[in-house]
Amino acid sequence: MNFVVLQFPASNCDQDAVHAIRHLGHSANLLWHKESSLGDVDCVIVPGGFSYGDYLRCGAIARFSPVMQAVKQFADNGGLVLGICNGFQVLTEAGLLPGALIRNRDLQFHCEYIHLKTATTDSPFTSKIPTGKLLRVPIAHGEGCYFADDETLAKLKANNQVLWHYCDADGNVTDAANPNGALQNIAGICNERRNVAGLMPHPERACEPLLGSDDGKWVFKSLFAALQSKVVAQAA
Amino acid sequence: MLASHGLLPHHARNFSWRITPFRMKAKIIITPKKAVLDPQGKTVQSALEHMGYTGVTGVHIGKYIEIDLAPGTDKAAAHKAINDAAHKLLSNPVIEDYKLEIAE
Repeated sequence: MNFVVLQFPASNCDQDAVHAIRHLGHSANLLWHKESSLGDVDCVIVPGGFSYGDYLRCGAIARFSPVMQAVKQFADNGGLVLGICNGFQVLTEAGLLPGALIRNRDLQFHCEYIHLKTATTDSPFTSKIPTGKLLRVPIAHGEGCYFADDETLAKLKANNQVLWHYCDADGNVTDAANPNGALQNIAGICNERRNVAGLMPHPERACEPLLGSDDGKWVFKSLFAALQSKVVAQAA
Repeated sequence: MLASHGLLPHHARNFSWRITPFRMKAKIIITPKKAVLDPQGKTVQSALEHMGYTGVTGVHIGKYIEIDLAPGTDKAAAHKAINDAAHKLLSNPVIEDYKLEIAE
């Protein structure tokens, strides 16, 4: 499988994403944001960081980078796109995912491990996460509070688009386990078509035990499986 | 003003009062939508209350953007263009409202 990881000025989790994917046995390469073509890729990762210094709003300027046109087209054609942290912010700004990420409710930057409860395994991003498995992965953000209006929230729920909620170590989705004030403890969502997803936590920073957790690998394993079945489907 | 900052050639400086261009600016005030959590506003509001300022029922913190426009720009056209930019880039309609004014 061939992954491409976008690189904006001030992306800083791009190398981590490349490392994690290669560590898990697949090919990943960086792509500079000025490129207008993605080339022959199976999946796009929009990485974390502080693209364009978070000027104006997080992700607001990155979404106008030439490469984002190509990403939009790729997504429109059903390609798999995953936005992590700042990448999630970029995808919401670009209108590829609904809602927005705003300032954490306590105005603090949170850099810590949290637990994620997977809301549905019916997506290419969650299909291989074992039933009942909580993901212990890090967060590192100041603007990760998910917001959407009531109508959008109802739609997300009706279409089963929420992929992960923040929870405590026992899997309870409580306000105390919500690090940023996200509505309904939402940590990650996908679009209606289920081929574009974003989450604030960093699965790519938790793919080997040496780093404190390898729970993040389940997100990538889900992607590998989805891409594999796509290849099989195309060959058949 | 341009001349006093040294942005015009020396010979123009003495005559700056004659050639100061007609200035037009777009002023955009961006505020969080009512339904959106505004922790900065809340924090400032409670600080004001602690300081003894009574009667404060809400604080909303947003952004102010000023855009300099070329002299002679058509006001209506500028309003249309900046309005478009405010919608696409300067604000995020999901979480923010804005007010736009073209000032001369």
